[in-house]
Amino acid sequence: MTPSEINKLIKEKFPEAVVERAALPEIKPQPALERPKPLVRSAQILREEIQIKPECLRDVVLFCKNDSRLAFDILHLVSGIDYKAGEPLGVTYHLASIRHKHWVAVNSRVARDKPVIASLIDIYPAADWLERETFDLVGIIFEGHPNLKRILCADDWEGHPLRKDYVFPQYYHGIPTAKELRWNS
Amino acid sequence: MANKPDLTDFVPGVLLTKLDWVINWGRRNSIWPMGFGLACCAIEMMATAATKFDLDRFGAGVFRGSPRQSDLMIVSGTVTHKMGPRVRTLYEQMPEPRYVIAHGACATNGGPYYEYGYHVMKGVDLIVPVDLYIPGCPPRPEALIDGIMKLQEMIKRESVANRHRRLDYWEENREGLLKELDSHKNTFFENPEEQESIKAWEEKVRMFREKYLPKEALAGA
Repeated sequence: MTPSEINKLIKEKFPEAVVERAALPEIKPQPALERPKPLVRSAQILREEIQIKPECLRDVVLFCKNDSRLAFDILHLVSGIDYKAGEPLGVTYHLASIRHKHWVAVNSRVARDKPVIASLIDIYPAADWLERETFDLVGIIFEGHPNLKRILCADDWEGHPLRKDYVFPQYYHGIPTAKELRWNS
Repeated sequence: MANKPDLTDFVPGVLLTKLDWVINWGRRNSIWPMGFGLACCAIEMMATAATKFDLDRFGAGVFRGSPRQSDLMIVSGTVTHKMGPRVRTLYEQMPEPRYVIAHGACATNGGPYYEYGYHVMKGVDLIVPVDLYIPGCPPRPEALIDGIMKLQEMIKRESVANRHRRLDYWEENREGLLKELDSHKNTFFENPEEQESIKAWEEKVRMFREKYLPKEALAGA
């Protein structure tokens, strides 16, 4: 199925969960490439990502996994996005199906002051490290994750580095972090 | 410089020179590196140790799995703030005499992460004394081999009597030494005429060595 067909199917099943977005402009036709055309272009998937309300995330994902027409059996990617300072944070899930060879990108927006969203760890075990990474770098809190602690930064690191309003630390355990302090330690 | 008593106070200089020669010959021809890599520079380090470049020709191909058996720590790659304390622990576990090579741009001063890398230590010399810096991102195996040969020359100039003085000197004058090194780097990169600047760089390195290496070490050469 193409991304737009998948989106339509989800929209029919959960009409109240999907957030309507402004229509996307048309893609300009690109010059023909010599390499073989992939089944689904990743840019197309990202363009047509479906945006849903965070409280309906688990229902939508369970439907995506269990419905035989969709059968999404792999969670590729969980990524947290800070679009703009002061605006809600985004969480994007990339799901793929081996059986049908199709993909979908599910996006959800959570409030910046309370970035809480349900964990998918019992549906997709692969979500374990992906959610920990998203928590570490963007600060999204996944409710229901059994071991939600930092995975990349040190355990006692302060702040979430990929936030737009992140303040760079000057020192970490007495070692200068800022380049201005490189020669004055 | 700390005025500690050393072996020269008790042993005649002629004997010491011969002893230095023998010991330095042994040390410089069997530098055993520690087998640990942090990032992509480690791939080049492995290539250096493999058949094509064969680091074993210089006696430095015996990569040890334990810091307690190593003489040389090649910090090959990005040292993050999470990794920093581990690197320091490994260094402290090595027995004397121990040498450190900062291999590549990241270990030298943060490299590509110098400007915006919140997680990268701006040079491994902030936590351990570095004997030799190898530029490159990552450096070619030839550069590492050149570095090992330079290190062998440095070991050749050492004396068993006052080796600790060099390290003491580093600890006391770290800031000045690093500033000096950095100003040279800037002149090296800003000069448009590359060949000229390389010559100037080599001249500055020579002056730098004469200025900062202890006289006792140079006299042993």
